[in-house]
Amino acid sequence: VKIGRVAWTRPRSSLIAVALAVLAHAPGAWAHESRPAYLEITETAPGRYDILWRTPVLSGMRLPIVLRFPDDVRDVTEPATHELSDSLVERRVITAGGDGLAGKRVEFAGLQATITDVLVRVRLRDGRHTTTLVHPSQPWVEVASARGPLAVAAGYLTAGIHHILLGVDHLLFVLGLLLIVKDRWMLVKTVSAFTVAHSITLAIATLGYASVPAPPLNAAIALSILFLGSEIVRSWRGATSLTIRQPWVVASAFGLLHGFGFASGLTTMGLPRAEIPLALLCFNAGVETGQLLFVALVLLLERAFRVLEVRWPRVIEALPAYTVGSLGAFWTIQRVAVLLGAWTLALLALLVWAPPVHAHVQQGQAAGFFTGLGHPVSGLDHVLAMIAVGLWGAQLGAPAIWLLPVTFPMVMALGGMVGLLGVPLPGVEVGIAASAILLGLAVMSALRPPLAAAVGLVALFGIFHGHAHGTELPAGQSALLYSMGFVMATGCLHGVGIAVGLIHRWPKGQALLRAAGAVVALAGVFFMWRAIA
Amino acid sequence: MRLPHRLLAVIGGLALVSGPSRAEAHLVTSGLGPVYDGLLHFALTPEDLVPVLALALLAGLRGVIHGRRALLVLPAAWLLGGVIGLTVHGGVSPIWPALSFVLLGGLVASDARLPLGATTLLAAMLGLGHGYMNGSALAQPGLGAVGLLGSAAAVFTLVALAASFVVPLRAAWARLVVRVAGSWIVAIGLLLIGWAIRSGA
Repeated sequence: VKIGRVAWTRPRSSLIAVALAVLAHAPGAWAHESRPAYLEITETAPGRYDILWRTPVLSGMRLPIVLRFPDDVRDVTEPATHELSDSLVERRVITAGGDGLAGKRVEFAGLQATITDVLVRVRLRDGRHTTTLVHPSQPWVEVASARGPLAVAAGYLTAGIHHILLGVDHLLFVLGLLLIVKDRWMLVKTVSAFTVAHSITLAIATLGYASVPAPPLNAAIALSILFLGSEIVRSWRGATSLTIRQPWVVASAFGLLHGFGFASGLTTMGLPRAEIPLALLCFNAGVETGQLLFVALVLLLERAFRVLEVRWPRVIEALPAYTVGSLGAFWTIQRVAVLLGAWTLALLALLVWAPPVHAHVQQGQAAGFFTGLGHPVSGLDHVLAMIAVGLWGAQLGAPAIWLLPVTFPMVMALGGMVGLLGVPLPGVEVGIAASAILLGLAVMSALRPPLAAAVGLVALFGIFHGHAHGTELPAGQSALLYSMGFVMATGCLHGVGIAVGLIHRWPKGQALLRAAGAVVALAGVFFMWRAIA
Repeated sequence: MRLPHRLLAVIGGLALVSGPSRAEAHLVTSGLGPVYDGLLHFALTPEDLVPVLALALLAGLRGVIHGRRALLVLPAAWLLGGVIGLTVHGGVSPIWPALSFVLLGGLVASDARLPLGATTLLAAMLGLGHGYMNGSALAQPGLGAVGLLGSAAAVFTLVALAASFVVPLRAAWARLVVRVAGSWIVAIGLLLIGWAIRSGA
């Protein structure tokens, strides 16, 4: 009886076919794009209120939600509109007669047609204040219905559950982890590690100690999914890696990223400071509840398929890894393109991306482009080194910011060619580990050598990385498509490094960047130990 | 004993497919988009939920092969029926879902030893009939096919979980519990029929 990988794989494969069919049809449903609208009502005199109404703007379009007060409400001042980068803010003063807004209903017309919530804060003259989260299922709020802490807590709990259920990218990452883990104890460790890690960064970001700009964060989250996709394929082929042996380590590392993503769902609400601890606790509890429900559903379905002895066709069996990887690749390219402001690149990438993926399903094996795209992210040592190149470039500024990332892929391609030709290069793994150590140290110490020395160092390491990849070109692959994917993914990794590295413009960012360099260097030491041992 | 059961299954199947009920007019909005709306609609519509559960229990009692067949046939038929419902979106008497209750609950309660073909037929007919009803209810702007996909996913999940729960049951008392559940479903169906007749449906 085959217990372990094979026995776990088949049911999970079939499960993904269903899960992804559902997930893929949730239009625009990742959490970072379901920012809530915000209404603030402040009573300044009996029956008189200051109104602040903020609606999110997505892709230049304001969400079609119309604020409707009761009929007896009159405007004292004309609405003054102020446009921000991500939202539209409207201010006005209203009067609502002697009784004010007490007990009256404020409606949000059009909310029911969206997946957006509205956070409503009401401050009354007697010092009372209420916070209500209005959902599309009930698009109105009664102003005077004072809410106790329990009701407020329930609101944030629900918001947390909503956030994870709409966060397709987060769910896909969890699904990827479930596909990799081989036994239940490891599953517990992995899910716990992911939970602890994302709780840490969720708390850090919500409390305002650190923040990561959304574009690079989203790109990095997408990259984490792409990474898992290639790791799933690797595990199915019987190969091994750190992710396959110890998935909890990867869950923990990427969990830190996802925590910042979860925080975006909370911080965009414009929380009152007094409510932050309660909001943080309940929102996180909601996220964990949603995540555990999802994991439980996956495990139950897996058990069901095992009991019912369901056997799926090969195409469906192969689908999950390619779907996780494809969506990860798609989102990575899409988000990096957004990051770099290069919409044309995104279009080009989409056009190039689509046909090979179609071919995967038809042929039941990876074609060149996608394999190439996934290869640079198949090993954590490569990923860290390439991101470190971007980080260092951003730290050094022009011209290094573009010279280093341009040099690396070219020299790496040269090393790849040498590897393809079968020319041996001694100490490749040691060289790769050394690259992570030295590049990490360079970022950590904000080293500023002469430009030629920096380029030379990066080029030297590029040869080792390229050689390792070149010797690993799988048989039967299209060399051209493989190379295209390979170079594009490498470039994206540098782009991620540069984007993250841009935080050095802020004092806190500089410290964070140095810390990131230290992490890369430490990881390099670990890789070195593995290479030598 | 086999022929009557097979005959019963055929008649019941025809009843299931020929009797789509009036479309459920009021949908609950989950606030999470059309997929979740469709899923929630199925979960909150006992007229659909209970017969699907009954079929899963029935298939589970009959074993792995029946369970697997129901798992594959029912959601597929559900989607097909749903697409027809989305296109036609007509309405019929609420008495028909009640008949599904009685028929499927009765088969579970009697632990009927149906052949595989009968289970397949029942699953197909149930899927077509109730999928049609579901599709009719989901035929509104913003939901449509995507909502139907959500409800079909919910059907698939429910059948998988319920059938796999029943299949391993070997103890007589455990199987009896399932049969008791079947009898309850019959009872609910009979009450529904009475209610429908009384209200002149």
